[in-house]
Order: sequence, then C-alpha cells, then structure tokens
Amino acid sequence: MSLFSRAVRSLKTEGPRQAASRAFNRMAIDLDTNRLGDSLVRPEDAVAVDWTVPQLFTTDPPAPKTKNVKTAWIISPPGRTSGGHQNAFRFMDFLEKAGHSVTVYFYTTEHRVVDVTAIRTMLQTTSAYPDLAGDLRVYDPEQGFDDDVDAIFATGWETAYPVFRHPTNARRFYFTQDFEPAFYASGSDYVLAENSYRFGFHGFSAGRWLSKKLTVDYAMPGDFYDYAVDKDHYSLTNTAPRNEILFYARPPTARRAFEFGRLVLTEFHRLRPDITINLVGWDISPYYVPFPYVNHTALDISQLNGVYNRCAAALILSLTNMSLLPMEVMSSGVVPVVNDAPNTREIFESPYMDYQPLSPGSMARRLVELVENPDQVAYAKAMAESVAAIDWVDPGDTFIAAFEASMLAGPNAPRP
Amino acid sequence: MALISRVIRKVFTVPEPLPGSVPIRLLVKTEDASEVDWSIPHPAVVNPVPLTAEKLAIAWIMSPPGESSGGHQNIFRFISVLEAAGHTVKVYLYSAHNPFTVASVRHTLVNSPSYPDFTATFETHTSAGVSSDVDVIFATGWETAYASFRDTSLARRFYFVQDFEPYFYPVGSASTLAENTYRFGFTAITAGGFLADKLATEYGMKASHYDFGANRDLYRITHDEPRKEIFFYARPPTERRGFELGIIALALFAKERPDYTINLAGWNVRSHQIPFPYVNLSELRIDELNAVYNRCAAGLVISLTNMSLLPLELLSAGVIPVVNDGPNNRLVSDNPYIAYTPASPKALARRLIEVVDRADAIEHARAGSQSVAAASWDESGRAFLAIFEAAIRG
Repeated sequence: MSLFSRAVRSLKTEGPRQAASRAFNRMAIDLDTNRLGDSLVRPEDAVAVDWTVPQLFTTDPPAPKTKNVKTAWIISPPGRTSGGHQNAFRFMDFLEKAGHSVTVYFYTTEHRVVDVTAIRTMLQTTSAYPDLAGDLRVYDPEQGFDDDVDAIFATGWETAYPVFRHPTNARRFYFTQDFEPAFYASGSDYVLAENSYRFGFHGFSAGRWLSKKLTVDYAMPGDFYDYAVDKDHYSLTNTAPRNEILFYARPPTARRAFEFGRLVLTEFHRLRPDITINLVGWDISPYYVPFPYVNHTALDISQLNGVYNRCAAALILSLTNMSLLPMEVMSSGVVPVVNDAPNTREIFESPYMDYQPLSPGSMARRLVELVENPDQVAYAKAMAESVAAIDWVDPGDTFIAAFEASMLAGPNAPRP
Repeated sequence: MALISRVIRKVFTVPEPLPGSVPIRLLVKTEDASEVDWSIPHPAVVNPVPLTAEKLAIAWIMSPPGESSGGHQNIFRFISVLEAAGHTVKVYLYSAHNPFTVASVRHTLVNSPSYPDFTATFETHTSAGVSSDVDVIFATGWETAYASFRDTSLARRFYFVQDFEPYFYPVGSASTLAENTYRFGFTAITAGGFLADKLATEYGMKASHYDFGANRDLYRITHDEPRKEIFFYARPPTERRGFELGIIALALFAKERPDYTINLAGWNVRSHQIPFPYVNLSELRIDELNAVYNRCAAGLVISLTNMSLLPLELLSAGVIPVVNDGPNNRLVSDNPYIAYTPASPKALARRLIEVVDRADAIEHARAGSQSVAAASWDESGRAFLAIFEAAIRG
C-alpha cells in the first residue's frame, strides 16, 4: 500500500489529528516497513539484556586497580563535526595521558561498512579530535570485548547493551552526555534508552543536572564534570552598542526547538523590525522563515566570536542537557536568553543567565528589552569579565580522579 | 551609500526558501501558538465568573473525530453525561491543516455504534471564538487549549485531559508547546489519577480525576475452561504502545511456550517482520473483542504514558493483563490482578509464562473478573459531574 493510500485510510479511521501527528513524528519512516532493526540497538542485544537480574559486575566486582587500567570504549562511528564524539574522544585521551590504555569499538546497526582506516586518518588530521594511541576496531558481536579488559565504557544508550552482555566482571562505566530517552516520543526506543540507566553502570555525566537526574530518577551512581569555556575563542572585542541578535538554530535537532524559536523571533521582528537577526548553527535556507535573517549556517569556531560580538542578546533553547553556548556567548558580551528549567538552571550559576518562561511573547519582549537596555555596553562588559574571571576546572582532572576512585569500589547492593 | 542600502535591503527582506523546502507543521495553528502569552494570565482564569444558572451552555473544542478514535469516543461519553444533566453542548472543531466538513463529521458520529447518543451542535472553530452565550469552555487535545486561551470570552476554562501529550513527541518545539498548555491556568478533569497527580504536582494545575470503567455488557467471562492463547495489543504506529518492545518479549515467550497461540490485535501487522507464528486479528469491532479475550489466559498491554482502558476490560473477560510497571499505570489502577512487570523483555516474557502456567488459572481469572465488577462508566460519569459542579459552583 502506498504511503498516500495509507494516509487516506488512517485519516478515515482515526480522524485527521492522529493521522497528522503521526505523519509529523514519523515523517522519515514508512510505517509499514518500520520493522525491528530500525532501532539504534541490535534486537539480539535488546533481547539478551535482562537488567532485572543483578550481574556479576555489580555483585562481585574485580579487585581494586588504578594503574595501567585496560579500558574499552564502545561508540557509534564518529563524524568529523559530531560534538558528542569529539568530547568522548577527548576523555579517552585523558585516560591515555594518565597512563591507562584505550581500545575503541565501533557499534552500529547501519548497513554501511565502518572504515576504520578513514576514522584513524580523521582523528589524526582533525584538530577537534585528539590523535589516540589505542586500537580502533569494529565491534564484532561474536568476539565481544577482550577477556582481559578491566573497565568498559558505554557512550550512546545503544552501546550500553553490548557492554551489559560482556561475560566477565569487568567494571562498567557510562559516559553520558545527554538524557537520550528525550530524543524519542514515549515508545519502545524511549524505554530501551531509559532502561540503560538501570543496568548498574557507574556514570560520568556532562554537567551536574544529568548526573543528578540519573541518580534521583534511576538510582544510577555516578560523577560529573563541569563544562569549561574556551577563553581563547570567545572574548569581548566590540564595546560599542549592539543592535543585532542571535538565535542558535538547528532544525534537525529537535531539542534545540527551532520551530519554537521561530515563533519567538516572528514576534520579535514584529516589535523591532529594524534589528538584524542572525541564525547560527545550520543552513536555514531550506526552511520557511517569516522574517528577514542572516543565514550563517554552521560556522567554524574561529568565525563565531566575530558574529557574537555584533549581538546584544542570544536566544538559546536547550530542552535536554544544556548547550555550552550560553557561557560562550557571555564571554563575547552577549546576554543569553535561555528557557527556564532545571536542565538549564542546574548547570551553571550566573546572574547574567537570562532565564525566561517558554512563552514566545514574553521571550520576544525580553529580547527587545535587552537590546534597548541603556546600560547595554557596561552590562556586556561586566558579564564578559565575570566569565573570564572563572577559573574553569579542567574536566580531565575531575574525570581521572573520579575514574580511579571508582576502580577501588566494592560491590553494589543489588537493587530491587 | 548605495551599497549600504543594497546590503540593508538584502538583509531586511524575507529570504525565499528553496524549492522543495521543509514546511513547519504543528497540530496548533501557528498564529495561535505565537499569540498565546501564558506568562500573562487569562482574565477568565484570574477572575472566574460565578455561574448561577441551572442549565449552562458548554463549548467543547476538539479536533475532528474519526470513527475509531478512542479519545473522541471517551469525550462524547462525558458530553452525553453533561447533556443528561440538562446542559447544552456546542462542539467546535479545530484543525490546523486537515480539511473537514461539519456535516460529514456529524454524520460519522451519529451513525457509529461506538459513539453514544448526543444532541450537541457542531460548528467549525474560527478566530471569532465561541459564541457569546457560552458559559464554559472545555479544551481537549493540547492544540485546542491554544484556541481556548486566545478566546476573549470570559467563560470558565476546563481542560479534559486524557493523556500527557508532550510524551507523544521527542523533546522539542511540539513537546514544549504541548507542555505549556498545562500552564494556562485551566481546571483539569483527567482520565485516571496519574494525570491529575502529575498536572497538580508538576504544573500546579487544579486537577481532579474520574476512574476508568469496564463495560460489563461487552466484557465478561463466557469461556470458563483452560485457555491456550494469549493476546497482545499491537499498534505499531502508536509509539506509546511499545510495539517493538512487546514483539521482543513475545518472541521469548513463543520459544518457551510454542503450544500457545499468540493473537495480535489493534492494527493490521501483516507487513511487519514478526519472528514467531501469530494470528493477525487487525482492528476488531467492539462487539468482536469479548470472544477473542475469552480464548486468552494472559494479555500483554504496554502503556508508556497514561494507562490504556484495556487492562480493566481484559480482566473483566477473565484475561490476566501483564502490564509494564510504572506510576503512569499504577496510579490509574492498583488492581492486584494486574501483573505489573518491569519493562525488560525477558521479565515480561517470564511473567507471561508464570501467568499461563498457573495451576489455579481458572479460579484466578474468575477472581480477576470479579475484581472489576464494580468499575462502571456510570460511576465515572457521576464522578465527572461532581467535579464539574464543584468547580463551577465553588
């Protein structure tokens, strides 16, 4: 049956609302062929994992070991500009520099062949990636991880499944960078992602909000590292009054709420049509936008500070774990207007973070106020100085200390 | 100077999107989403008008109903309760994208056995809002709450909430716009206790609930013998029914108990790859269900947001429901015959096996059916009316 006749059928039986909301949610998926195997996790792994039964690695952990630890990381194949991968590789590099060994396994359900040589070249030639010494391998379910590995790190939720299945009592860690169930509607993938927090792994989270959430909601033990701003790239260079604003627009990333930001800026443009709106983060040209804007697409890190320094305020929406952007734009003298929620409040405390309720009208009014602020220049200067004055703790130091401490831990009490 | 003005002109015109560009479509009309500023409370919520008249005019804003939409069927169940209490109901149909005609919608409902009798009038919702004689406005799906908020009418605002709709989306614009409707200041009447609890504690809403009923005329034990089949409510397009998770669990069950027939009902699943033998019952009419239920010893029902009506209906027919454990289900029904189980495929399969292997399966099924004998929709209707009356007269 064609997608069209299916749509007509479902319109008849369900009413347009259900049919419409489904079409919007699952646009890329032909519903009739939405079969097992489309998930990020291999069905065999999802079936094999029974987290309701406590495992050796929690009931009978290995003897303490903090020197020359042999670690394995499992991760989806990295892309050149994937920030999540860059960050994970940075932490693998911290381990190597601390005298431990790293072997990286690539896990994917896609049919595309993983080219390990190309990945190695990318690590060596891309400045955003460290040049790792350890082995790179494609994860082979028949082989699994090496038997003598001391510690295994899961990264994305789907990789937690093969990590759970490893037969030895090697210690299990979970390098969590976001609350990934929220990437899905409530459904099978949401549950499979959520369950990974119940596997009994020890978490290392990006920021305290995520760490706290995993501990409070799922009793998952863990540590976190704080975000750190790169002072070399972001600084105040324009001390004149600014008459532009910025929106971090990434339509394919649902958690950046592009459509919602568009509503805010539509209202903003109605109030102040003379102010230039800069869209940064993605090529917006294929999207309908009902106001004039400057389409910066995804800029190189070296070009960002120039754009930021033209702007008085930035609209930055983070619906799951907060982006680094609010701190970065503050360094450049831009007031971040951020949605008010625990996931944004619990990351970074600063009186300059401009938390606003997620009402398009009120956010638009606030952006206008910030541009019109007669003390705008002095305010921007004080804000940038406040960020520059922070002695950012090195996440690597935090991570290695927490890792070595947890390599000493005894058995966890089996959870109910 | 000319260059500068050319640059300015370039910057200050709306760029044309490329051909084949990506439309932004939400259930709510864009203008409604843009205009509603809930950070400034609605006057009807700040100063609720006292309603003294015995008979009220009550508007319900809803998306155009389809024949088999359970959510709409439940809305009309309570509309008929209001009508029986002497109130007048006006239905306003709201749809951001899909064309419909009032006549065809009304025709569908009047001729469908799934809908109760009603006398409500139907019209298309427009930006003019509800008519001036309306005393009370009920919003239903989240997008209709925007239409209610934008309406300048001082009618009392209610929100008939049947599910936590932000969960229908990945976290993003749609989930945010849906979530914000709980901050509009409306009074919620919810399907079951989980929603009322969630809306009150997380959003500070005034929220009360009615309990689910199970229609004894439709669902009862007719087959009082050992049963060698099981049932799964399989709806692949409805994410919250956890289709893939259920199939993974049933594959394990099928391997352990190959002599049991597995019935899949709720959707035609023939084009899905399902790794075990099954009976594809597709969508069944309401009067066909009891016969199927009565062949089954256990039913797997996954509900990832608000609980489905199915567990109580299954129990009534002597089927033990295996349901994923969670507050969204337990706070709706704490019936001890519902086999709540962690949403781990192996744990779900083990539980299904335990249920079908019970030596006292027949007695257990009878007791399960008896346990829901008192859960009637008449009781739910009385609870709804009591909540409504208390809210408007209080």
